Amino acid sequence: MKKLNKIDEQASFQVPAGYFEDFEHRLTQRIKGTNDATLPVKKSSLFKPWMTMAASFALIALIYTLVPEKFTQKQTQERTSELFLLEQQSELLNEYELIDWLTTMSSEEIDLYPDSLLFQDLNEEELLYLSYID
Amino acid sequence: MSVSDQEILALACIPEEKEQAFSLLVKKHQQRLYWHLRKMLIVHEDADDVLQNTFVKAWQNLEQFRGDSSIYTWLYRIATNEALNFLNKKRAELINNPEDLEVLLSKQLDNDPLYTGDEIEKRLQKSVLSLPDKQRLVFNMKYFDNMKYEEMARILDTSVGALKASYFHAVRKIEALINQELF
Repeated sequence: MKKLNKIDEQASFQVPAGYFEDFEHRLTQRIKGTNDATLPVKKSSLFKPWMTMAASFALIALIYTLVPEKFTQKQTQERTSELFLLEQQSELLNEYELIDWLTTMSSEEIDLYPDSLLFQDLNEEELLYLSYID
Repeated sequence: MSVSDQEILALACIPEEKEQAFSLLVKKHQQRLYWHLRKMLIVHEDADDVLQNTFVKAWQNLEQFRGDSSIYTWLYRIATNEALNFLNKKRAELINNPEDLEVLLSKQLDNDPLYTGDEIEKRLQKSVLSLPDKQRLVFNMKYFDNMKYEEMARILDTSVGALKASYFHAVRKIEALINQELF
């Protein structure tokens, strides 16, 4: 096999005139630019973690004090008046019984009292009684 | 008179003299590093960009350089890693392009006003471009830069045996391509 003869490939590549003379100057400009651009970020980064942490603690404290008062109580009230009754009802039938009941009963025979217009005038005990399916 | 690496490092340890030390370092090594990068990246603008990145990293880490190896070996290693990363990034950008990076670089050789090689040189360069990046790197360092295997091993952090095998396979491939006149 013929051996590769030595070729000075470097001589085939050229650079623009004055490239090496100018390189250091351009490099220095870039390094100075990089330093200038990063300095303000570095300065402010000393304070940012503290500010972020303080803001986070304040936010957590605010959530702990306001959220239970504003929302949790209301949710609890709503749950006691509506959802509680529905849950009570669902406990009377298991899933298979409910499916069986829904498929065998005609639609006219089904009265779901918790949705009734009378609901507003009934107390919980009365509603339970009416909703009970024998 | 050329400044020694020890003198540059001694200057770099003095904060007020760091800029002067760095200036000496750039002047001393810029050309060799540039030609190394140019052969890997082909395009002058890319070689210039990666050479700047290399020296920026050197500037940022000059104080941490412990002198375990020569400054040139250290710089050469930074430049090589930067070049390989650059090529990988370029390939990722060309993922939807029907032409490979190697094909585009071959075309660049045909149209580059800053490349003046004759047809034989161009064929050799295009054959070298067909090698995988790391094999191409080994070929360039040995064939064009006349670097010793021991120095290459220090730069590429590998064994002399692995480098010899890599160079042997690279030469075989290139000779086969040139003999078949595929380029």
